[in-house]
Amino acid sequence: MTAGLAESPIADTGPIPDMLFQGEDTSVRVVILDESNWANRQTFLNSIMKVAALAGKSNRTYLALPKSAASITDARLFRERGIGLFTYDHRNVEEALPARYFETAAIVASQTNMASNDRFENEIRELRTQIDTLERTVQSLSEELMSLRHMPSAPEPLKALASTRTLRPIAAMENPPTFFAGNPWVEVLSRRGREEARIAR
Amino acid sequence: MSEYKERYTFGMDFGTSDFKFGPITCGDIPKVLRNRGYFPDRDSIMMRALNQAPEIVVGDDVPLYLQSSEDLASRLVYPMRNGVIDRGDNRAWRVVNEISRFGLNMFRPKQDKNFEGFYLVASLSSVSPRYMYESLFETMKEVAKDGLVKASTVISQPFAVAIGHGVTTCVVVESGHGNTQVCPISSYPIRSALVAVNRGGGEANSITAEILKDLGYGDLAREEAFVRRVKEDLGLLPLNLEKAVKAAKDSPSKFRAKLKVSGTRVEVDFAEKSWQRFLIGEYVFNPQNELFQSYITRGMPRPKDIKIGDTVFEGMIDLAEAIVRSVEKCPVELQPLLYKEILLSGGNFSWQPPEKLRDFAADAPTKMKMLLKEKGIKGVSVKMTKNPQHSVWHGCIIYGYAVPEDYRWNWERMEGWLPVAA
Repeated sequence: MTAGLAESPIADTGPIPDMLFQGEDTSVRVVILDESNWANRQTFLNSIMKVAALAGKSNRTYLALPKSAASITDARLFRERGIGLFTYDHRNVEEALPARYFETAAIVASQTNMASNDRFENEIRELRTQIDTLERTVQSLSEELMSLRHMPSAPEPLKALASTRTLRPIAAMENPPTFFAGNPWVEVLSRRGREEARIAR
Repeated sequence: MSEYKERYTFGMDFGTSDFKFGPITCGDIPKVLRNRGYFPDRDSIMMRALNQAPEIVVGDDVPLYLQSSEDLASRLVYPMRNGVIDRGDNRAWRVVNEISRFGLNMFRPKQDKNFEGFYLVASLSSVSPRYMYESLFETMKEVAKDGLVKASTVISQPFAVAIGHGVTTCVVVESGHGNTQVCPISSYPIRSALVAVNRGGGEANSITAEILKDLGYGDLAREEAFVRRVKEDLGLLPLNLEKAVKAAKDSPSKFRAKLKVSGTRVEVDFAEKSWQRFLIGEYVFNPQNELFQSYITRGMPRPKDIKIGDTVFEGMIDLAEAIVRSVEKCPVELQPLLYKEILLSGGNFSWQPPEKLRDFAADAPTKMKMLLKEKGIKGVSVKMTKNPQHSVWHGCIIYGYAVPEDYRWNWERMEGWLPVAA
C-alpha cells in the first residue's frame, strides 16, 4: 500500500488526517473511518468532511472504509472530488478507487518560493552593494565634514565681492555672456594696477 | 573700463589640437579651427600651373591643398603639439602668425570707422618659456600692421581656466595631449609652485597601442586616430586597479567590450583580456604600478623627465603627488583653501564609467580624490571645469574685459597690456 512511501509524523495545521505517507516529491493523506465507529453518524460525517477538506492538499487523499461499508458507498461522489477509497477488513487493505493525483499547492509554492528566493537574494545583494556605496559616501562626507571643522575658517572675500557687484551691460551686447554671471574675477581683475598704486602710496 | 575695450576684447586659445578664438560678441561659444597650417609644395607642376598656391594655408581651406600623404608629416604643421614651440622653429611661428591674422580678420568690423584694433588676450601653456611670450608679442606686432590689434597680452592656460570657471583660489590641473600642468591660483597664478608632468593623452594612446598589439591588432595599432578611438570608447579609469583587474579576470563577460567601426570590417574585441581596459586610464593617473613594467620592458616608451625652458617635466610622477608637491610649495595658510578647489581641465580627464561598472570604474574627479586620500589629503573638492572645451577662451574674454587698459605689461608679474606701439 505504501508504494515506496514512508509514514511520516503529522504536522498539518488544517484538518488532520489519520495517516500521512511521504516520499521524495509525493505525499498521501489517509482518513480512516473506524469500523467500530462507522455506524456513529457524527463520527461518520466528521470523517467525510475531513477527507473532503483534505482533497487537493496532498498529492493523493484516501478515505479508508471498512469493507462492510463499501457496498453501500457511492464511489462516484468520491471520484468527482478526486478522493480515493481503501477498503479494509481484518486481513487486508485494498484500493477500491484510486485517488486523483493533485499538483499540490505546497509543491507549486516551493517552486514559486525558489524563484522568489532567487529574486530576493538578488535584491538583497543589490541592496548590500548600494548600502556599501552609501556607507563609503557617508564615511567620505563625514571625513570631509571633520576636516572642514578643523580647517581655519578662512574667509573668501573675493567671492563675496563678486556677489555684491552687478555687471553693467557690455557695449554692443544686449546680454553679457553667461560665464560673466557672478564671476568674481571681473571685480578682482578690474582692480589690477589699482592695488599696487594704493600700496605704493 | 572703456567702452571701446569692452566692445573689442578678443580671446585666443592656442590649444595643442584646436585654436579657439573670437571677440566678446561671440557670446558663450568661440569659433574653433584646427591649430595647424599647411605649407603647399609651390614647386609642384600643378601649383605652378595654377599659379595660386599661397605660402601657407590655415583654417577650413587646408584639406583643399593637401597633397600626397607622404608629405603630410613635413608640410602639415601643428605648432603647439607639445604646448611649447622651439625658439628657432620658424615654420611653427609662421603658422601662429597666419592663424592669428586669419582669426582676427574674420571678425574685423567693416562698418566701424573708429576701429583701431582689438584688445587681444592670448593664452599659452603655463610651461611656456619667456621666449614664447616674446615671440608671440612680436607676432602680434606684425599682425597689428594690418590694423587688427591695438594692445595684446598673454595669460597662462590654467589661469584662464580659473577665470573662466569663476574661482579665485584653486589648483588647476590642465592635462592635454603632451603634458599635464598643475598650477595653484590665488588671485594670481603662483608660478613658483608650478609642477609639470611629461605625461598626457599621448601616453594613454601609447599603452592602448601596446594592448592592441598584444590582442593581435598590431596593424590597427599603427593608426593614431584609431588607437585614440579605442582609448576613448573602451578605456576605463579604475577606482582601484588591483580590485578592478581581479574582478575583470574573475568575470570577463561582465567587463567585455567590443568596438566595431561602422562601414568597415574592423572590430576590436578585448574578450578575456577585458581587464586591460583599466590599464589605459590608470596609466594617465599613475604609471608606477608594476603591471606597466612589462610593457615598458617590451619597448613602450617610458615617460621621461625632460627640461623645457626653465621647467622640468617629470614623467612617472602620479598626478595626486604632482598636486601635493605643487600645493606644498605654497604658504601653509593657503594650502587648505587650495585643496578645497581642485579644477580638472582638458580632454585627458574625460573618463566616464559605464553605469554597470560603477563599483570598479570612476570618473576623473573621483579617482583624483581617492589618490589624494591615499596620500592623507582629506576634505578635498575636485571638479571638472564647467565647460572644458571653452573655459580658456572664457577666461581670456573676462581678463580682457576687466583688466584696466592702463595696466601695462610687466615681465616680473607676467601680466598687463602691451600696446602695439610699445
